[in-house]
Amino acid sequence: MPAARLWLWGILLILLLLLPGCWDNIELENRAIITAIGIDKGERKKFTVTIQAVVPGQLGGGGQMATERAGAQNPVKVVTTEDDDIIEAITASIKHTGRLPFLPYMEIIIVGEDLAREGLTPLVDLVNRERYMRLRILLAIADGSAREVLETPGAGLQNVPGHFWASAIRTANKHYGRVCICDFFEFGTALFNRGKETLAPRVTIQKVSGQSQATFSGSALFKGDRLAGWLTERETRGYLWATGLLRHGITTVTLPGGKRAALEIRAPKAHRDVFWVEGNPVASLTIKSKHNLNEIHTTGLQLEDPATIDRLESALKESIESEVRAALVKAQESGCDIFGFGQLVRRRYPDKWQRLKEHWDEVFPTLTVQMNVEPTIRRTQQLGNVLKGID
Amino acid sequence: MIEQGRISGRQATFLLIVAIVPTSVIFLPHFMYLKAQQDAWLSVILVSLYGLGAGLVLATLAQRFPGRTLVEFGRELLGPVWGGALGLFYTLYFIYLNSFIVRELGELLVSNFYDQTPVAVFITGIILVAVYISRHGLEVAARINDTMFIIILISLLSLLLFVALQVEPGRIFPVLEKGPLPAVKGAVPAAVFLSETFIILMLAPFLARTAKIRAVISRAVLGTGLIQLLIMLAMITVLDGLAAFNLFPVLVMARQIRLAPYLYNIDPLLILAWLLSGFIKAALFLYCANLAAAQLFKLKSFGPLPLINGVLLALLALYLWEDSTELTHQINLLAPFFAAVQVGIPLFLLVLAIIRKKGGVKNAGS
Repeated sequence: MPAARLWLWGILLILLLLLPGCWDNIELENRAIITAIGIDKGERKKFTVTIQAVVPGQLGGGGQMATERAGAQNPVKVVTTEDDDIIEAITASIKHTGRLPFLPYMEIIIVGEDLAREGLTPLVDLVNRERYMRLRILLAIADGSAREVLETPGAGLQNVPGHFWASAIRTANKHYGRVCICDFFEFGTALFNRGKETLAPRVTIQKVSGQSQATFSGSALFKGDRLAGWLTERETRGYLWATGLLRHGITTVTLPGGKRAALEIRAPKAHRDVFWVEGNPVASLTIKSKHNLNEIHTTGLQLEDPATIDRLESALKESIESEVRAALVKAQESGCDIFGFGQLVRRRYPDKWQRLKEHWDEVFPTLTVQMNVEPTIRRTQQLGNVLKGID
Repeated sequence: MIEQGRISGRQATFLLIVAIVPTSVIFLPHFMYLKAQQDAWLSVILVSLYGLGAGLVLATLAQRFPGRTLVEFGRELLGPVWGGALGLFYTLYFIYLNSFIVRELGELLVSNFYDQTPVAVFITGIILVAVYISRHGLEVAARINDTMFIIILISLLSLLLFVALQVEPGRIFPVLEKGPLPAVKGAVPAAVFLSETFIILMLAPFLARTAKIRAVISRAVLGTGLIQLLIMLAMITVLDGLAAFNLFPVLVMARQIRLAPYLYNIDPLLILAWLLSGFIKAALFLYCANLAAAQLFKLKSFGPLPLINGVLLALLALYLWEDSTELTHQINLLAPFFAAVQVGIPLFLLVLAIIRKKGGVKNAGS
């Protein structure tokens, strides 16, 4: 046989060895797919880590089989471990699951209040360093212990609570507009961003139709990596208005005389600026938004009259302003510059920032913010005037 | 003459670009950001100017001795003993520098993807390919590169295009926050890479039109500078401070790309560009080592040189550094040494040639 032919056969034979696949693979049955973890300050050791692992057998399939099975058994298992390192605590869950924790499908990390007040740097470091964790993992702060949240069974319309929480945050942020969103990428960049603080959604346990469920309500204010305060849902939307992150939502206005109307918020735009009065910074905030009329709670509104629309617009202006003001007051009270005015000064007036940055913590709480809100009501949707019987 | 093939000016430009881009996109952005923060893009411009200056020195030197490589004219300039020492030094330097390149690629793969695989597997794999390519000569390497260059360019450009959605332009401000010094400091680690064009001293005799060496180098430097500038701007405006901590910031940036709700994790595009260019870069430097060794010992052909150099390269790449921290630490520590070898010695040779009136004076004057 010619030498070239021999070589060819040799190579083919060697390639044959590769066909059976990976020699060190780990079967799905030996993995614990972790969708969510909760981290608290430990009692005896530094961290208490609660993992939520999916039981794959309880998930798959369709039709009757699946519903029967889902009724029979919980598709997730929740395990709590305690250790001085987060990663070791996650690994220690093997003792209780008998499976290797698999991290790439993790959707959310929930941190308990006590730990959040001490700082999240070790956690942020871990998520950035660990190659199996993606920076897309969402961050939420429990207003109590994260373990309790993880142990709450409710999972909305999904099977797995971890998926439910992540999709609740993402979808509510996009369409409901009263929930903020924060993943580890954003949290990480904000940590290094002087003059801009960040916030993360707050988780509380509520009774929903008789069953307790973890829901997102308001947000947690951060100063650096430490929890510094809470915002309500209304204040959270005020923050989203001011930073231009609000995408969609419904807002209600009350006209003098108690006439109420609900309006859809569409495509709001925000612009922040800083100018100087006698050497002191003054911030200005311009918000422009478009609205559709959605729901009217009263008769007697003459919607065919443009003057009515003008009145609605000025009422809207006031309600948006008060929402933003509420967020601003909270932020200034807790000294968290979530609006990024400091960052704005740093970027636009670097010389002045050099003098200001050391005592920005004292300047920000008393910073004057001028507000200019310009809402426009575009259309009344499918109805013209308010629906009522024709005499 | 050992090398029978000829490469065109365009092929040489592409080779030089591919020789600089991969390492300067894997490791450099982190170091540059560390020193210059949001001004790192200015550092890229500064270092490109330096690259053009260095290129001028190298081109003038190469043009002074048409048809001869560094090893050959080094002998003429310095005499048989010192010239021989210079040739040996550069042979070893090509292998030594290559060991950094190969190990960097290996570390990149292991620390981000193949944590269970020993780095030796990747080092051996890369070197086997490099030995194979370099054995076939420069023209083959250039032709492979012609194909790969397009793939590399398309991957990098599409990555930049996709990441545009995540860009927050305000992040490049304030420009020169702490004066011009950080931007200059940021340019220092990059200087080593932008003067890797010095391999032209080995390749120049095999260019089809020798007279255009200056154009080849300056186009290569400008091309690399442009790619690096775009990547740096994207990195600053997407990652900001995270770039100071992550060792592979461009990879993190690529992972932030989200084209549609279910279309993300397209970082393999970047890995593709890195690996392809890394393979070619390793092959090119190995080729230079082979050529230098062959000319040093006045051999008629490469013979077993590629394999011998390859084994030496593998040993160096494996055993020079114990861990990734040591590797990156040494790159920073040795930067002045690299700069001296890549630009300092050629500059010295050029001055010497002018003083001793060696080489084609007519060519150099025009």
